[in-house]
Amino acid sequence: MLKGKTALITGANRGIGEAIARTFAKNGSHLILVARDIESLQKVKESISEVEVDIFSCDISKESEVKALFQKITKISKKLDILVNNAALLQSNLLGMIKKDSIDLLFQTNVYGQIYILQYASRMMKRNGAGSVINMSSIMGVQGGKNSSLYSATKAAVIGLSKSLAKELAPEIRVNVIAPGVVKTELISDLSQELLCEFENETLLKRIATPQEIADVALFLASDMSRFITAEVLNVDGGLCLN
Amino acid sequence: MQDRVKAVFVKALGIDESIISDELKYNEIEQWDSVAHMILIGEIEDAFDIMLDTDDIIDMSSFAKAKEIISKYLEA
Ligand SMILES: NC(=O)c1ccc[n+]([C@@H]2O[C@H](COP(=O)([O-])OP(=O)(O)OC[C@H]3O[C@@H](n4cnc5c(N)ncnc54)[C@H](OP(=O)(O)O)[C@@H]3O)[C@@H](O)[C@H]2O)c1
Repeated sequence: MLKGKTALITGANRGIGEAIARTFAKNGSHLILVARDIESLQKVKESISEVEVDIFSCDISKESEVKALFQKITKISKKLDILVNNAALLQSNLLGMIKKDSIDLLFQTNVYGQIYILQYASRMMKRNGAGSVINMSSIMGVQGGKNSSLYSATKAAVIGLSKSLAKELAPEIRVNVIAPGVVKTELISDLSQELLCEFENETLLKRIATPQEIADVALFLASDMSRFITAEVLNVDGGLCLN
Repeated sequence: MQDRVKAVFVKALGIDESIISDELKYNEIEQWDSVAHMILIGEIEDAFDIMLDTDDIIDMSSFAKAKEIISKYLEA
């Protein structure tokens, strides 16, 4: 489904990003994978044999690192067809216990980082005359989340950013959002068993998602199967949003 | 290099070469608005095979400034 395409995926060394990388590889896309930890990226690269994989360490919250990243990317590829802006951090805190440092860190990673990447990636796509952008939000960005006002605010910002960019970058570039419910990855490793059970009970499908279930939706949005879809927020939450 | 930059301006902004001088400024002619500016940036990046920083995109406020910024990248 993605043969001949080049895809940039951030946060690709584990969790949802890794699942997306493996799924895109099975579908023939050249991969450019980004995260801060290069060793785990290297492991992902070594385990993918189907396609060419390039890896780069980059802290997306730092504009200078993103700039350097794209200088390297343009040396290995003149085109970019797909961007999955997936990297993010989660912190759960009650409002009164949110420190300014946390606000800076979460916004710099989850929002500024996506913007920096988009500034360069969208120009590569425009030059190519086509592109599909998938920005990772969260169901918490759609409907809020208990004890997660800061994280939810960053994820709501992703939705506003994406809908606006869908307008600005059309008709060449499609911009869509995936809003996962709860997915079994390291991101939620701090959640108590009790809270996880609560999420499972509140989800109509009575379980949390696997990273593969998010990756399958990313494949759909990246491919021409979704060629008439833009500015859309796809909740992939097993019905959690209805509760 | 001046001629190459001029050619890019003509193509990106759809203007006549005769109106291009060092004094030609962003937003002073209707053809060089913010949307056209981003098209111009794409054409410059394509023509000179460079990737411009956001600061330079914003600083590129005239034809003279464009030449100066492009030279900086070509010398780097
Ligand atoms: N898991 C869930 O339940 C869930 C639910 C809704 C939405 N999401 C969203 O899905 C996306 C992926 O989450 P996940 O569950 O797969 O999380 P994860 O397992 O914690 O992975 C996060 C990824 O982001 C990278 N990353 C973090 N900060 C970075 C930075 N400053 N620069 C570059 N890379 C950075 C991490 O790599 P390094 O640490 O090596 O940099 C890692 O690859 C996120 O946007 C998250 O908000 C997840």
